[in-house]
Amino acid sequence: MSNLAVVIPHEELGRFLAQSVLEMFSTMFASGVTLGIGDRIDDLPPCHGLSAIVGLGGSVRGSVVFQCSSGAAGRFTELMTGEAPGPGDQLVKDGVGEIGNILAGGLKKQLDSTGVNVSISIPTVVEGKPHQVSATGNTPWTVLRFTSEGEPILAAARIVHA
Amino acid sequence: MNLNVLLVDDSAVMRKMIARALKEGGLAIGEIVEADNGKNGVIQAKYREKDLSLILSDINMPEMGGIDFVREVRKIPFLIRTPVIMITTEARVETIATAKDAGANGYITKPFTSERIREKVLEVFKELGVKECPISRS
Repeated sequence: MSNLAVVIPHEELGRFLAQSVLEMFSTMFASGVTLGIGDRIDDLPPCHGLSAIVGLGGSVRGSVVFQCSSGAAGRFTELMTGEAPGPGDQLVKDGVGEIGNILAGGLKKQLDSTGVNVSISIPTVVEGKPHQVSATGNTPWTVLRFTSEGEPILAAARIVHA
Repeated sequence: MNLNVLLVDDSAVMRKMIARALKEGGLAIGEIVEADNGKNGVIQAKYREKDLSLILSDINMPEMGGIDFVREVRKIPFLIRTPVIMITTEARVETIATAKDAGANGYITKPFTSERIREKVLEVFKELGVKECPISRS
């Protein structure tokens, strides 16, 4: 079993992830964000808001994770639906799940273009203060940290061969 | 002519987003009916078959996905030629071809804009020879 990082180097995966984030923010939220090439870390930091987790399948195994604060999640949901969500509104979790889905879809599109056959799962959303998303194995995460309206956002991906 | 639309997507946020985009895109929208998976979409389609003028569906959904949903819709007599547009993150050429074989008329990838939805709806209506243009007169 080989590590896909050899085929898709960290920098390239970071670029794919960044492209997906930029397309999503510019199209859905009409806002730009400034991104670097991303960090490479073994464990995701604890999250104090919501996490959307989307599994990757096909010829690879992996995950795409999107994390943001509850405040940012509410704002994104309002931008998507045009309606301000109420306290504890289920739509906020649904909105974060959809963001994770679109982010994973964007990454999948770019991986497909390199000949890597990828399928994506239905998103899972976790909410808790704090929680930590972990994965088995020793493949590091490629992580992008950025802000939107001052709120910290994290997008991450981790991919290995099936 | 107002378009009565069936929206099929497992995400409530996405259904609201698509409904908003349809209205903001300047299309003459009548009633919007929602379903959270293909199975419930088929139930709604059978119940409202004569009234539906447009169907928009996701592909990747639990219970019944969008491809099987379109296949089932095309078995319903009044919906054999009703425009069906897939709105999904699945952008692979093979998936698009499978959706078309199943009976879909058009394809929009997420993320999308109101303009993109409007363009695709008008394009599909034109391709299918629907004479009355579903543009809002208000």
